Amino acid sequence: MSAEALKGHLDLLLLTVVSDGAMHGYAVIEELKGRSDEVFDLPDGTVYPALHRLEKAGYLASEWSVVSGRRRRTYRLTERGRGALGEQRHAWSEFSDAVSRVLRGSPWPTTP
Amino acid sequence: MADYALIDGYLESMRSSIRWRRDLDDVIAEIEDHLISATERFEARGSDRVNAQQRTLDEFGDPKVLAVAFASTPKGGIAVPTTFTKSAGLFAIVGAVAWIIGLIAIAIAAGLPDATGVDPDQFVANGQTVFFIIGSMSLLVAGALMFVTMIGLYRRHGSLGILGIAGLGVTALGVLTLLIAWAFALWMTLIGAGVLLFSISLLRRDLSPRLWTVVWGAGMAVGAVTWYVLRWLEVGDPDQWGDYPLAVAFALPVGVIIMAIGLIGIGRWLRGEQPVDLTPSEPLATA
Repeated sequence: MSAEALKGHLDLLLLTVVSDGAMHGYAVIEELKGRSDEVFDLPDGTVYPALHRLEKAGYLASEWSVVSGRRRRTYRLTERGRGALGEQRHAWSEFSDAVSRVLRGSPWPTTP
Repeated sequence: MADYALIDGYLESMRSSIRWRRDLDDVIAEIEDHLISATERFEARGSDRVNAQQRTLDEFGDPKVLAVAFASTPKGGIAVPTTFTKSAGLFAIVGAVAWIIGLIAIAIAAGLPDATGVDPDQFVANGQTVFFIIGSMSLLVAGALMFVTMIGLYRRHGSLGILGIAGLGVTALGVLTLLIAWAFALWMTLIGAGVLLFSISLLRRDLSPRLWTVVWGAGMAVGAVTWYVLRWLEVGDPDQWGDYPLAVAFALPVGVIIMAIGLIGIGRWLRGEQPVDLTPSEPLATA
């Protein structure tokens, strides 16, 4: 799936992944790829600005530690982020149900 | 990191591409952790060190594209220093000096010489008028330069939302009223309110230096409030128009000096940033 198609849904995906427990950026990206069976194809680096933005919005909190001699930033979901995640999941559910209902109303076109 | 030459080079490129970030070292440390973690994972799967680094960097993305993502605001603006924002820094400093010159000239014209025993007529014929014209022009130039600085600050932040736009609008109105320089209360109120609104929008973005933003943002508002309080207390004797010169004589320097100090701080910050040239694109993730 192209990056363009993911636009607008990345926040929901990132909050969902981090909601399972604190993790660093690389782990978040690997989890995202793993759960989507590598369907989401976006440059790894573009996830970091999104994580920073979510932190600035108060949805994520981060803390630093040292692992194998390297500084590592770990993100966790905040209470505010949990609320936002609930709202976004609900909105997505409504949206995807509506799209599904529309699609079910028409026969699948034959592949040329 | 002699073993990670490719990653080292990439990090240098990345550091240069996002050098305007205040948290630059943290961002680079986070990216470095990601790149080495990914490289180690590829190595564990059988790649040699060079191939593992190359695959990692290919997946991470082009530094120039990522720089746009790191600079993009949620509303699609690009928040980076440019040659214009750097120029705006110079305008801020010159504007601050013009505020002070205007203040001094107005003070001389308004009768400070009487209090100090210095007669303006000793300097030029019809001195008070000349000083008043110099003061009025200086204040007008100062206001205009500060407004251009605010445009620069707006662009430095990509966008500032409705509060920032409201601040710009009210300040523009205040600068226009500087044409009636003697209407101190009016333009002090408008400029004080406009700059205060604008600086609040800056503080919410947490990008400009906090101390100088607060000083600049509060300066003229404090001056205006001071005038209203002194006027309400009827401090000093009223003049023939019913105004209280002592209120202006105290409130105007308070507002102008505090605001000018903050403006110089803001100007030095804008001047100190190295301009970058980013071509706007449509990054997936925005900072």
